[in-house]
Amino acid sequence: MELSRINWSAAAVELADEHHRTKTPRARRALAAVSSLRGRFSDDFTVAAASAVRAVELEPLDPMHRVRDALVRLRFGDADGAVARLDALGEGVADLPLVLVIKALAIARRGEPRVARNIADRALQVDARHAGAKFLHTEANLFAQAKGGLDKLAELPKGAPYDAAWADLLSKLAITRPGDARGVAAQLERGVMTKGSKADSLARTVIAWTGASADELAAAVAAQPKDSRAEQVALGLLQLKLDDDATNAVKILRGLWARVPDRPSVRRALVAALTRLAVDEAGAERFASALRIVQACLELEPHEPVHHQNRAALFTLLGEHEASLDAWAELDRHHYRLALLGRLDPASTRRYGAPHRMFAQAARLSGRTGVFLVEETKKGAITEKELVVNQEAIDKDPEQLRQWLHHSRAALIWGFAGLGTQRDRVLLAPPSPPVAEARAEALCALAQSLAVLVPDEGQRLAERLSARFRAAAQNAPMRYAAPEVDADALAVHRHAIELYAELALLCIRWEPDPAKRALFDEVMETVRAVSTLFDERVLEGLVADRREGPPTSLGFLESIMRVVLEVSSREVRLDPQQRKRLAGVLTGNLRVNLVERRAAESQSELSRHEVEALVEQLDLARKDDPQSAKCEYWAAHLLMVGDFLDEAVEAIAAFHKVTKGDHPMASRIERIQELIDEKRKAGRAKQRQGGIGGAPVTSRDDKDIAMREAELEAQPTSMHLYTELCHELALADRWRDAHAWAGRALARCLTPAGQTRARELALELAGLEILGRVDTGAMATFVAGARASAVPAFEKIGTHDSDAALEYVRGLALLAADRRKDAQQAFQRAFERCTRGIYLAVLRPLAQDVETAVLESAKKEIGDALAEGRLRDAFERIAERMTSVSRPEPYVLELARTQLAALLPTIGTGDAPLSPPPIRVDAPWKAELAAALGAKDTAIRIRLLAELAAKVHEPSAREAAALIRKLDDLDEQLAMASSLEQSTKRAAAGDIAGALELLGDLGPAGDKSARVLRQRAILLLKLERFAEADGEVAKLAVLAEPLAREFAGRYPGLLFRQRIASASALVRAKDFAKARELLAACVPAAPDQEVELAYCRGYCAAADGYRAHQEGDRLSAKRLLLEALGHVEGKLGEARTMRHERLLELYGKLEADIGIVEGTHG
Amino acid sequence: MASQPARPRPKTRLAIDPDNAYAKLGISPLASIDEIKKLLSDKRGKAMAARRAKGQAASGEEEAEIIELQEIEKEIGSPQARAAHDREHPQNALLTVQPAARDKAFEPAKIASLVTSWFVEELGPEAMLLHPDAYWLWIPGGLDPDLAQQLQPFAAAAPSGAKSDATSPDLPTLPGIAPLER
Repeated sequence: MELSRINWSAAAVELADEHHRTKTPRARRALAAVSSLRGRFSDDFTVAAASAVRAVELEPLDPMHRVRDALVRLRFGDADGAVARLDALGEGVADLPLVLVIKALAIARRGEPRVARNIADRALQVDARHAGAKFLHTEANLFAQAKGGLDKLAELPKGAPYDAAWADLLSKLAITRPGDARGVAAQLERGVMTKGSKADSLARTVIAWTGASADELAAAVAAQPKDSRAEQVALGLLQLKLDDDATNAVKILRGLWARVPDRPSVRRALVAALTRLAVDEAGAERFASALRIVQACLELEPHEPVHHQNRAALFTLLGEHEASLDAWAELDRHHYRLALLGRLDPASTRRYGAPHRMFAQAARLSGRTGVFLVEETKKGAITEKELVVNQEAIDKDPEQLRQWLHHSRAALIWGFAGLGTQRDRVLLAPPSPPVAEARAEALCALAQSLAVLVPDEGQRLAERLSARFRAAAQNAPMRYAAPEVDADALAVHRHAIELYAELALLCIRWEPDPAKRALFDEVMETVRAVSTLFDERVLEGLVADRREGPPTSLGFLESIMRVVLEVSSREVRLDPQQRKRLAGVLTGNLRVNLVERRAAESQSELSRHEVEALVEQLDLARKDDPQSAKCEYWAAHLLMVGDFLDEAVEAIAAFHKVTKGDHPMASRIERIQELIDEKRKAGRAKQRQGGIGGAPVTSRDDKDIAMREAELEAQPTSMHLYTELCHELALADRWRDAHAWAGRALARCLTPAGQTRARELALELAGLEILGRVDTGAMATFVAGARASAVPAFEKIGTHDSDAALEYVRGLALLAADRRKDAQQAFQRAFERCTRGIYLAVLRPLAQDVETAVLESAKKEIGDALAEGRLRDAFERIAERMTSVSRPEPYVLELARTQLAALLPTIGTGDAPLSPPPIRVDAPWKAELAAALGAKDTAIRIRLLAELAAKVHEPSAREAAALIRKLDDLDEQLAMASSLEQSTKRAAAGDIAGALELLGDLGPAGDKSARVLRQRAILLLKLERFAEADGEVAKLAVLAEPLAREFAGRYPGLLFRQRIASASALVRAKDFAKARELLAACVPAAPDQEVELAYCRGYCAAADGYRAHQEGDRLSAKRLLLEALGHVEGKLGEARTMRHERLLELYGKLEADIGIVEGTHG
Repeated sequence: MASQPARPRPKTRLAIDPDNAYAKLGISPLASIDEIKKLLSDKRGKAMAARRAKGQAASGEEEAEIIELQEIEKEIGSPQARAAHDREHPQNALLTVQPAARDKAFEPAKIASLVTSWFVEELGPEAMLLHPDAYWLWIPGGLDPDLAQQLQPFAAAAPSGAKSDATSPDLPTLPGIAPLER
């Protein structure tokens, strides 16, 4: 069997299906073997690697799969990965000669021949006769030394099985050790290979090439088939020969390319030589000449990024500023196009990010023109260096700040893109779903810089990357201890924190130009986005690492954090609210700086309209940082200037409230107070339209709310949306909004269930607000779904005079912790203290009987366990509940449901489904339950349990009936599986018609089963009932199952093969007319099938022709042979490419025989 | 950002830092780590020898050179330090005219490995070659007969002239040339 002709993917699908159905060790072994061998035949690394891993998972104790996993790595050039996998093999396996040989091969490919030799030596110690180890040992040994050692060749085995190894070794020696040419030639003459063998001929060719002149080699290249390995080897040797003289290399390769202009490999070699010449020219500082050569390279290979990069570098070195900016932009565009084509591996993303890092660094610190400056202060003998904002440079050239900003953002985004798609890497192990979502949105915002830097391609790339970031954030779990991120992710995180530190410096020290609002907005948006990536532990590590070295702003950020959040402990651990506060202080301060600069520049000559606009800015700043004295000072100042005296007084009061005592601005505030008093006396008080805090605010939160509001407009009774929104608002500390939305839910959700849920939400929010005041973290974890974790916080809150709503939330938390009695008491307290009638409907049932809530909670747990396949857990939970609650009736249905879930995966496998544990209940129907549980047949057990559930618990009746219907369907499926099994057995015994008959009467279910349809199609094909087989496949093609899709895709090939096989049988039986008919109906589905069909048609006509000739009918013989020639002639080119030897042989035979026939005839 | 701003075009020119570690050492930023180590070692050896030769008469220049070499080594003397340095200073490599990464394929060792790939194609994967595609590494004992049987339905007709599982007739079954001869 030719392994390369096997359809490995179809085999894997089929065997996976068989393994899933039968679960037998034989099926598992076969699937594992096919999976690991698929790694040898797949050209797609992802498929090959995943298949090998799957094999290891299926058969972890078979080391061959691990060895093949290593071979997959080696096939795709990952020698390190291969070695790591082989090193991980257990003792006893790692020392097997085969494993050692593969390891030596991997290490040799890594360019370490000495180590490879030692490993091969170990293999020989285990098995001194291992031929592979011997050849590898000799090869590595000879490669490790520059000369000598050829006598070792005498120890290698000789004979036909080793011809290939000898040819390989001698050819390589001839290339890598040109000094030993004579010794290598002597080996050839010694007859180490079978004379005249293909291996001998190949070795002689390579050895001859190593001694050829450049012109001879160029001729050899031209003589090899285009794009062949032989061409590559000859061309490589030619380039090696021309290595010393770039000018001569260009001349000879240009000549060669003129002879074979259709050869990409020759063009690549020419471009390589040209680039080497450009490198030489640039090294000699002849930049203009180098640029001309690079331009020529670009014309020949416009797709190669390095030419774009060289061009940009040369414009830069030539000092052509504008041209260089355009050239670097072109390089970015080229990179982005490659990324859009899917090249997003870590090495590529590093390359794409590098020019952005360069531009960001150039704008950051660039002598006197950078965004930042290093300021030196002499303190005695010590010179202190500090990073400061270069206000003057930014004012002079704001584009410099934009360059730093956008290229920093783009570099950061490429860093994240290089981390892949795994959530914990790309979102830096987010501890909770809101954090995951916030980080993803921040990355989406930062990705917009790609669109700024490269319009069109950047926009499309930003969209694509944003989709990746958002996908990573979906279904993020809640964690109490986030895992540590790996080194690459940490490096990207550190980059983000460094950027945040410099943004912090900018926010505090930079005074934005009010005339350049767009720039201010870009900075603000960046600060907001990067702030979501802030982590104080990463900052701590960075501060420690960068203590020595050039000055940074990391220490500055650390100080701000400690001052703002008033933390003094050595190790700082912040909660989400504190991180938000830190970001708020930074953005608030930057906004105040903007207002301050405008106010200072105007020297109080501001129009009323301008004052109002500036005060609105301060309102926004106050929203970010409600504790800013500076904000209140400028509010008071501007309101006083605009004669809004009442509000100015309010701002002064806010100033005093924030500062709580002395403040450097206190005297200036007093002066404002005096001026207000004077103005009051003059009767100049006015009223601003919105008042303080009343200005329209368009923050991101508001946008989110607007979005949710739009969603709720479309689904105004969706309690799920109301709950999500209210929880979000609660987490954002916006309780008033949260209560307002809960109120709207009450007014809109008017069904009984909706009303109950809306009241529950309103009550829960009221309780959460009280809890949040005591312990924000407990409130947040409760909202995130981990209700039981709020219990410790409740234990610190007394119960004697607590609010009803708080007691309700306490009850929910205790219930989640399975403390039913305590929960019931909490609900009773809530009920007693509740003063609002609408909540009594929620609290009364809970206060009277907590079991309803217990049932709901148990149902959720059981549902989760079933979804995750934890059947035993589900059974145990039901058993525990049924024996501990006072009304176990509702759990009977759960028991039936779980038993059904246990039955389904075992159908057709022969395995026994899991049964429930013994359950003893104290109820009048306990005998019926025992009878149901005692039923031997699982399907009957489910039926009895469902019937019992309907009988003892009225609300379960509907679901029980549905369950019984499902069982009826299942019976049908079981019957079908049995027919299919019998049919397969009969087909294997050779009774195809009988096998088909068994599948004939399966009703409509049979017409919807992919397995049945596939089996019918295969059987019909074997019976040569092609039209009916087509009909079965047409039914199968509309099914969505993977099995159906896979078979429908494979069917044309199967049909073709079966038709060819039938036609062949007819030709052999000399029934040419029917064979022709069948061949005429053949539709090839691939180029190789076209060649095969041409061959078969040709063969059929030729065989008919020879028959005619034998019968003496020479005219017909000639006509038929010419027809045969016509069939094969049209596919000669393809047959040569595909090496279809039979067609070529038939062609040769026909040509000769037609000549003879013509001669005879003539 | 609501409306799309343009790519920034500042007035300040990009420039290479003449005092970068590579320039101070006098080596290309594209040189291998082994080349850097060798040059550092050579220069340090020379400076030490000069320092020893001058003895008491040494002017301090040699010591300054040794200290500078230590600084350079700290920056680019190890793969990790160099990677970090290059990440911080990408302009050193980016502003150097350079060949494409794939042009390294024309080193003798790479051509030698190409030869093996060629031979695998010409002689088939069954041949005993030191190549990760060779069957003797994948199925050292041959294919398990039970597995071979299970794979049989997935073997496609061989267009390449392989006769093992082809369903179409083989050429030798044709009557041959004899009847046509005169």
